[in-house]
Amino acid sequence: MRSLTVKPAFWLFIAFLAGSFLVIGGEQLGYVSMLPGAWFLSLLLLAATMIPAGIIIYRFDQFEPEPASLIAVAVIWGGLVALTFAALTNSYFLTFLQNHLTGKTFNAWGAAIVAPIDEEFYKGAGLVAIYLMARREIDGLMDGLVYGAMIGLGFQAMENVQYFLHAAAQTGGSQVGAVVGTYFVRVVIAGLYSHTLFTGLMGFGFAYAVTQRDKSRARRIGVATLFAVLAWAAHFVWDSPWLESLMGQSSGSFVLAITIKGLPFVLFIVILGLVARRRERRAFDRLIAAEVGTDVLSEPELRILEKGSRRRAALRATRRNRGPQARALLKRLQREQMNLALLHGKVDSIEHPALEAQRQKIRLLRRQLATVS
Amino acid sequence: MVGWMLFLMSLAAFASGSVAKTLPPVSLPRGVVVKPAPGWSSAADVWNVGAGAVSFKRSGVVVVFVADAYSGTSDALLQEQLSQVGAQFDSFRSLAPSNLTIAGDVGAKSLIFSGTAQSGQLEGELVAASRQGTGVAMLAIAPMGQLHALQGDVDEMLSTLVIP
Repeated sequence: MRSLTVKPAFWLFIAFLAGSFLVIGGEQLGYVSMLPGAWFLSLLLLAATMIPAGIIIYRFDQFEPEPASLIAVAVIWGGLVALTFAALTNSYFLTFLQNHLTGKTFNAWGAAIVAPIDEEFYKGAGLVAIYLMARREIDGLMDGLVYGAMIGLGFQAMENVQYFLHAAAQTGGSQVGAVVGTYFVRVVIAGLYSHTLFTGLMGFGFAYAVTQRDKSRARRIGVATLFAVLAWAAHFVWDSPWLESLMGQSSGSFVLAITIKGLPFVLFIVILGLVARRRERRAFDRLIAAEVGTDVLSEPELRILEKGSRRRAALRATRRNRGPQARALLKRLQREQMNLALLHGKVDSIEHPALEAQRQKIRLLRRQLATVS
Repeated sequence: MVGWMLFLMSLAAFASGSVAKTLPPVSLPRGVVVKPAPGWSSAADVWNVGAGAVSFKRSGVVVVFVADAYSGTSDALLQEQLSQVGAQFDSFRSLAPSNLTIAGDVGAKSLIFSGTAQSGQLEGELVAASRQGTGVAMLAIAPMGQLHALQGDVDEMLSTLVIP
């Protein structure tokens, strides 16, 4: 965190945050005073969904988890800064369109035109801000995917609070029913096809542009632009009135319509995630190759480290056979072995003192683990 | 970031100003006069309300003013209008009426509603006032979520209304 505070981008973020907090904070205070029960229920439901979703996204980058401080910046950027700027610009943009489109066209297409342009722009700006704060942290495609998804998650969470509370305010019946109903539609049924997906796509393209320095500048800019357009397109398709008639027919046709609209993009980002993960694994294998077979990393240990499921299985087996203390030590050992690979990527020589210090740390953990029965 | 916001703000201000032509005041029965807000045009092409009433539109929002002889209270007039409006919807709900002052000093009753009709999800505001044998009602209707953008214009037309 201390290294962040020396970056001008961090202080710009703080300035934007302060302004955004006044806007969103005032809005939330209004919700609490008018609809306290619905507000608390909204937070509870979102926490129950968004926290696990955040953990899944965070863990997707298994070899180099991003710093918690930057993840927090990403979520806050999405939930406060991007949301505030987008709310203001959406309103201006809609006013402009209201005066240039017929009422029917505006009603059908206004949101689909305005929201993707403004919202993707401001969420994308968060990726640039994070890059300016900590360039070295975005060093792989996976990093862009994770930061983009986290920005989208923050945006999605705060936007959902607004939707839930509007539903509660407008209902003539139970506020709890309105909140739960909106939660069901926006999170349970359609939660996958939202800002986490859109900005994840943009993050992948952004990471390509800033990390693939062996590619030509034109290609890097082209790929970043392509993914920004894809993010915009996914958002546009989602907000467009296409398949609206199908949505209104029955619950089944509603689910079918949103699946048609959103699933192709979800599948695409899943494929991107798998590609990014595969690249990370290859990079890990390449970086750690010099250590395999030494006293810091055996061949079987490498096989375990390569996959999250194998690491978790090893931890479970250790806990079962040797207790929780051994499990905790093994977890630290695995982490330090992965950190050793990362260190290899940051130094020039395999004799570098930092590498030797890391090896010593691993040897010490290994000895401690051996003493736990 | 701020640049994009300022750009859109200017665009919105320009767009609002560039079309802000103002229709002349319209006289309704019993000396009632409606002064359309700048930027509103006649809605006779989309909603022909007949004699004794006038309709205006802007950006998907339509307002209708109607005036006639009426001897009941503002509250009674509001309820009569509400039942007529509600009958046009497949599903309809309204909030409790509140007091409002229109035309300078005329006490009125107002409520907001929303519902689903053939043309989609709609929201609106209904205002009714009765004074000295004259009843005036105003209905503003818009696609869901869009009335608030022009609420200022609707309020302006209500406050500049002339009820003798």
